Amino acid sequence: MNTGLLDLTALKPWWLRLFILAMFGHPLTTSPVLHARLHQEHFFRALALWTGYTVFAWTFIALCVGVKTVVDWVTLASISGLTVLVTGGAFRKLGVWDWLQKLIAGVPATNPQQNLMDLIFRFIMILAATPFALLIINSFPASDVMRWVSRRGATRTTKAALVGAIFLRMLQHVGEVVTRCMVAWREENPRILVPRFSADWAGSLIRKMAILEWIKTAVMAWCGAIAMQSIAAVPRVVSDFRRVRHS
Amino acid sequence: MELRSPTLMTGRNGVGKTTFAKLLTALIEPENGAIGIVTGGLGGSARLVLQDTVVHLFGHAISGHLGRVFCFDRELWKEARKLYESLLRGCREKINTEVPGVMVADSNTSESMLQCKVAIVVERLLGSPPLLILDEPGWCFSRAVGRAFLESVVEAAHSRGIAVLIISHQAGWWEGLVSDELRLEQEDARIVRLRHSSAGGGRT
Repeated sequence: MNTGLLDLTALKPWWLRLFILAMFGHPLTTSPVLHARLHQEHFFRALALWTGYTVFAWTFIALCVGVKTVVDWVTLASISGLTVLVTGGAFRKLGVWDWLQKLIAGVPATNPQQNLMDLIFRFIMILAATPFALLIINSFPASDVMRWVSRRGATRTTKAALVGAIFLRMLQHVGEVVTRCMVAWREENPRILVPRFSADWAGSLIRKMAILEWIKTAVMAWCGAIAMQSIAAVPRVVSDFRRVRHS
Repeated sequence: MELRSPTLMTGRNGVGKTTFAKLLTALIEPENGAIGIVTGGLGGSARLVLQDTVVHLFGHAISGHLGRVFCFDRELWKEARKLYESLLRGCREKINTEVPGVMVADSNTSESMLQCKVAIVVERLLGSPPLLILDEPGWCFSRAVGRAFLESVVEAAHSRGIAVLIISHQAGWWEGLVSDELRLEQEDARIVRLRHSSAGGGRT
């Protein structure tokens, strides 16, 4: 249920909606997350600016879809961001980036400090970009695109729009699936990143290393859930299209 | 509010039944005030079984669910397997004796919605929560099978000192099985009132 104060989907014509979203999301498309543009002297200023923008983006999204939905989306973004941060940090310590750069360019193009700045920026950007991307996906109901296609007839443009509508509908469905799974996951594991039942971890540090096994299990569970539930939506998407075509 | 288990919570669509259940399970924090459950000595938050039970499996087969959830607690895993077998057997016996025309095979070779729901309930019960909340326990079942399932679950929960709350639109389905009834009624845009009625029997 949308509990937001502004209903973006009700804003007509559609290009006005697109314009507003493009305006609010403009900083994301001109991101400074490039090694060459990250410098220590203006690092904290840039970080403060992007943190401010993230808070602003969350406020705008909360106005559009309600606080409850934005909290779900931010939780999802935090998990993605932390995954990038942790794996990126591990790769940095292991020297994987240097090795890759040497392999591709012959010499390392960035130093470890720039790598760290880059990682922190990526984390902040994921926190801002993920909820914003979900807002964009949910601002254009696929059924509107389908209706438009059915009115126009079979031209090359409408066929392309139809493929786009199917893609959009699937993306929206995956978004719904992720939200549903998140509720089930939080119910099962209230601490989110630690399992509810972990008595075997008590004691030595070696036993606690089982958290790696847990991360593997969790990633596989999420991939399995999203894949299965998304495929399960195919009949529903097909029936949506048929219904629009017949109406 | 003093209620006897099992309690049925009912109300029209969108009134906030699931939201109330999420408050009891600490999935949502109240903006102000507090919400708590006091039952026979068990503490913590309630556990919830969602209506769309399949979502709890996270793409795993039913047979793999308990293994995934209890993979870092071998003692509980052993207990879970025993409880799963006994609860499933109890459900099947009830269905075979009480539901005319339905015969559930005593085999684990096929995976059914009954097995799925039993596996999820077992995981919830082994966490020893003060309250087990079942959102539409009759989902995907006929009325008779739903009742047989609920009866078995309530017996298993009560034997462990766990109270049961059922959320359902179909109050008539659970007639004679529930002890108390809570009705959520929308008074205005911001106020939802809880009305309590006793159905007799049961335990506090």
